[in-house]
Amino acid sequence: MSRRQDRVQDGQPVLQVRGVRKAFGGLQVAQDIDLEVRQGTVHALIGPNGAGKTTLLAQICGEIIPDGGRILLNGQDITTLAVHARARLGLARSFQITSLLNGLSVFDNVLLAVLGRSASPWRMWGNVRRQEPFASQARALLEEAGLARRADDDVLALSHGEQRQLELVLALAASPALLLLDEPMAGLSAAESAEMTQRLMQLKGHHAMLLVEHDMDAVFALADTVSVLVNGRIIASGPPEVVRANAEVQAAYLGEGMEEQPQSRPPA
Amino acid sequence: MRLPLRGMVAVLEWGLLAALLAAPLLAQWLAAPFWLDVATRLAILALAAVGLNLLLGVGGLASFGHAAYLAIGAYATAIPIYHSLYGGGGWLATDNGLLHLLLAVAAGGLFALITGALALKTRGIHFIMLTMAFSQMLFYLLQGLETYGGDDGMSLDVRSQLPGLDLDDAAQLHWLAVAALVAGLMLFRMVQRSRFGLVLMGCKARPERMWALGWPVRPVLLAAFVIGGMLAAVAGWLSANHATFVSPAMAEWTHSGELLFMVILGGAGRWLGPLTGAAAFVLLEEWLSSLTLYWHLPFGLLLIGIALWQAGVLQRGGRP
Ligand SMILES: Nc1ncnc2c1ncn2[C@@H]1O[C@H](COP(=O)(O)OP(=O)(O)O)[C@@H](O)[C@H]1O
Ligand SMILES: [Mg+2]
Repeated sequence: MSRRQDRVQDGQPVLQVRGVRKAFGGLQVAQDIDLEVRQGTVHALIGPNGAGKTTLLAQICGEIIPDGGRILLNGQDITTLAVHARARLGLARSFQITSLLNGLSVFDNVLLAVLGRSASPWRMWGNVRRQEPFASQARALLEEAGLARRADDDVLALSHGEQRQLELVLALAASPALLLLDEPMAGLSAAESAEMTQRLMQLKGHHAMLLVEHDMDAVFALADTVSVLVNGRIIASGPPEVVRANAEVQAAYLGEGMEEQPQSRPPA
Repeated sequence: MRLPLRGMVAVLEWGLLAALLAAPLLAQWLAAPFWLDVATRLAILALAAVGLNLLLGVGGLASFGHAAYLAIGAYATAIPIYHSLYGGGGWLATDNGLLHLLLAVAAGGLFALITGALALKTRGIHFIMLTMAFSQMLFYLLQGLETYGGDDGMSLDVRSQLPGLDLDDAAQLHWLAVAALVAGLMLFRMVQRSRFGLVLMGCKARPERMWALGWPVRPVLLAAFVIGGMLAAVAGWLSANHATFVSPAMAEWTHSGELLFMVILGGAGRWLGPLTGAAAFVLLEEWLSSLTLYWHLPFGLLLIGIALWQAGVLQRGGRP
């Protein structure tokens, strides 16, 4: 516990969200959101469906521009920067619904992820699949993820578990400074989910992570900080134990709200 | 069943390329100059279709205005020739074929850059409609050019002058068209295998993911749109010299539809696909127009039928 807190204080802030506001018509999906993710830590964002978690991630990665407030990545203001430019600054995400490049091979998917951080798209000659060091890097990542024998298959031929795995490989391929994870456990079996938690555990310390997840086992196993988002507002934020004990949170989410979360299991 | 079929398609594609190369000799041997004319037209249409194949087959952009570039390339040839013969036109007046080619590529590229930048703000059906609308705008613009024949179009009274080549010689013109086609096919092959080609394929598969991976999706698609337009503009330059006639009708959307059919017929994204597509198109057109005066309707129905059948074959052949 104390070791965990030390680490939290040591890390520089990688992501700073300051006073971010967003409304869809009359619906306030982000109300003065303040949030920080420090180097080497995992910040979990939990809350009921429709709370605005995915929308907040979309604002951080640039698909949606906030109505107000600022977002900083490693101190640089990225509030209105294009999605691909943020990615090149070291921001990566996995999608809530698996979003692989269908029709392309597993290898091509990873190769595009490896190249995406630094390579110019304008090279129109040469065989991209033979170009080093990128091709070797892609092969090594597949090896590491246990997907090497699937390299030449169309991603559509993968099992759901393999697709979630590849989804993570794509997000990590460019060694991002910050990883946004939107429900990485969604639709996974209990065993697969434990495996994914294990995998994220290994990654912890290498990448700062902002994790949106309904699986409370995973959240409490991984997170250094937990923030609770309800109706676009953060109602509690702090170390997992403290947040779990918070009465307001219990009432709003962790208590009877649990039954409304199809993918969640009660905290251990 | 699957493998022999694919093998047959490959044999057909390479056979066609060989036949195109040998067409002037075959036509002379068979004393059938008409077929050389058909073969040249085939090569020119196939080149335009190669440009569209880059957009549709690799980048997933169904442009319904690709015939506009044939018209642009053709007028970029016809207008300087007109002025070189009848005065006026200032710097435009020239019979130099290389300058015609340069002008065709520049004008085609510029038109693609402007209309593509606007059309690519949309996707799917809206993109199709916009590209079609821009080509129709060009169609009306060309109709308004009274100096150059208005909606009747105009004849070229001489062909482009090229060093060491005589385009009045049907065989030389044919080989020039085939050389351009081969160069276009090789360019397509090179781009498809390159990093740019892979990025383009990714943009076709899922643009949101490509953004998230750090790729500037719209500039990449725009670049492909410009390259595809330039290739078709070269085809327009050849077409003006082949038919010695240009008209606004070249830009009509029906011709864009025909180019789409050629690409789909040959298998979108297949390297040599536009060749078989254009061959099937040209031969069917010749055959049906010899059978009946009212060949347009059966022709359209046949094209749709073949495209649907073809899509099914490729799908079955592509799945493990
Ligand atoms: N593009 C949009 N336009 C309008 N409303 C939206 C849009 N995206 C999400 N919403 C709404 O905003 C609310 C928050 O959605 P979301 O961020 O997906 O929640 P969560 O991920 O926490 O389940 C929901 O009520 C949703 O219907
Ligand atoms: Mg969500």
